[in-house]
Amino acid sequence: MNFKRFLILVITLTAIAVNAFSQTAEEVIRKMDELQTFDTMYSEGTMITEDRFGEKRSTYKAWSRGSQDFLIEFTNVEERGQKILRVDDELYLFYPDAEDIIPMHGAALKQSMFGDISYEDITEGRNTLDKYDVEMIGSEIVDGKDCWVIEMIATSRDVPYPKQIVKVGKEDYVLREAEYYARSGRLLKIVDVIKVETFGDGRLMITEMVMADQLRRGSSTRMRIDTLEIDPRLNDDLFSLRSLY
Amino acid sequence: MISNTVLGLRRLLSGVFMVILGLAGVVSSFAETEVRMNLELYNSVYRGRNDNWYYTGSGKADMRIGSTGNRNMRAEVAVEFYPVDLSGGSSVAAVPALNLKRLWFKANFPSWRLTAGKTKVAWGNGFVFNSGDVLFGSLSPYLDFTQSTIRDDTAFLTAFNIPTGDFSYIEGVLLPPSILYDSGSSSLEVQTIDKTSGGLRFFGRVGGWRLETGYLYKGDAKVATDLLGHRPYFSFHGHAGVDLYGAVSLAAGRDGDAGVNRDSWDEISKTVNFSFGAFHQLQTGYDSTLTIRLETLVMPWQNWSAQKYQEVIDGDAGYYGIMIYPEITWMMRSTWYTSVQSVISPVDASAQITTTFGWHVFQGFTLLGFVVVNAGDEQSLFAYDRSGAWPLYPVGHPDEGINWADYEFNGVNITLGARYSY
Repeated sequence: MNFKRFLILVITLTAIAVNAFSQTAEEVIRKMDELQTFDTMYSEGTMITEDRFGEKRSTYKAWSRGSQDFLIEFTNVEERGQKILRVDDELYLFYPDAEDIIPMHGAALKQSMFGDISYEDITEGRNTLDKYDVEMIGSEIVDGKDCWVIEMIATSRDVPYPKQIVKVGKEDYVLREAEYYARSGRLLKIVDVIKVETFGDGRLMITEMVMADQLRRGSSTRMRIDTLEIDPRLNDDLFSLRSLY
Repeated sequence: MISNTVLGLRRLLSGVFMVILGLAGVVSSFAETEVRMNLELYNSVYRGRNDNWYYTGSGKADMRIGSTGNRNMRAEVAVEFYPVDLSGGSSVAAVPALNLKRLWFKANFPSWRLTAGKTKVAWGNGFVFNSGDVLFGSLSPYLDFTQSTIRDDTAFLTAFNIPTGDFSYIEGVLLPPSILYDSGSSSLEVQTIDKTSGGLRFFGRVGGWRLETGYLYKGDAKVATDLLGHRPYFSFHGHAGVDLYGAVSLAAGRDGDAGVNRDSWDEISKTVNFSFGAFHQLQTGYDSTLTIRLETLVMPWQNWSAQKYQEVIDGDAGYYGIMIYPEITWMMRSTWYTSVQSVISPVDASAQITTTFGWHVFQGFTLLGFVVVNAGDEQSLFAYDRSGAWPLYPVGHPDEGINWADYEFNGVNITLGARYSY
């Protein structure tokens, strides 16, 4: 075998191997997204940011249909009655004091809704593969669970973190840990999954996680689901402007 | 002298307030209610007439009692308190003031929604200038960006909202004439039925654009610079690289307040007004955002040359042909923000510039700082120093009510304050 043929073989095998890993990583991410998507869902939750000045807490009720339709209503005193509606690609905010509905587009979706969470983060469809190229980079034990380690590189600048490394359970396809990096490669945040519960047809759901800021000691955002109903019956007009007023 | 402001009713409402407080206690014992308090406290140093400086403490308390628990019914009562009435509505300046800001319910019937009470209905699109807001007239250039809400006007109304799809509806609204307050005799004046306002709007989507059109007959003024008569309008909101929105409206027919009957294009054209806005937000680093907004109000058949300020506030000079509102806000970690907002009057080359600093320290608690500076000569809309053109009319003059006290704001204001919601 001359050197040229050898080189072609190496390149071909490498391409096949990379493709096989890449495919596997995509399957894992796709499966992970699927497990977090329900026909219909109702939840009540709490988001708590902590820093050296103490806690800030937001509570909400949320209804969802599939991966694209969401309605969120804030219930804490300061934001009570503020609502966010997403249907397909449209997002509307309702401010009760102004009695006004504000449509949101494009970059406005990046606006922080609470702490590190943008409007888009909380309401976007679970379509991770549309925004990231993913690659399997290894395995790791996280809290006693054997996990795939997958690197995700953003395909556009339209995401808050250009690079993520996620660790997903090999048995249950549940996210166990994630690291968010800046474009420079600096570690910005670490997400720890604190609690996973079984619901409905036996599917697992993350019900508590903490996002710790690596640049500011003691600063974190905790997200907790307090109540969850899988596949509740929802009125057809719930995901319409009517629900906002 | 008749003052058509509800502010003048504050003293009369103190009795009503005591009843509301009593009702709140009763209601909370057998229904689901939530009480929210918003406090705003400010320390201001500002310049008055002739370079006299003043230091004042001011503030506002806003108590809201809202219903919860029933998705088909919502209701709210909101009362605002001011420690000192500087509105001019009271004959004794030191009297604490009270304002019943909101008193409404919304009932969701299977195929329509009823809203009734003292509240607002947001027509058109616009943050500062909104030509589509024919109900509350978002045209005035006099704005106070130190307040938590801009143009937060409410009125008694009844509205019917009928959905025609998930993202379209028809809405009808009926507003009774305001009850006027005669500060001279401390009596109320109920207006005749021809002062009633009412209209209809349609809201829908075409492509990615939200379009809205409607008509309102405006029988009496709900804000100081209202245009009365027949008020058709059209408004849009969409996205083309940046968010774009705007509206156009006009007034035709009898306007009793202005003392004109706009039955010719010459008269109607003076009321034609367009508002346009663009909004964009940029991510600046992973935890900060930069927001840019630009709005303009154009009244093509109004004044395009500078007028004397006395004539402007008398209403004799009309409006300026163009006003511009630029805003830039930088927000860091949802905790700190700074913004620069300005209302610019290009015709007389003047502007009011408000710089704001905010820090969300604790849950519901925000520390604030404002610097407000006017830039313009003494006859302009926003004078840096108006001492030489101070609105002051002798007793008996037709515009006597426009007298400015020497302690009125004159070009420079520095305020430190805080807001707390709980």
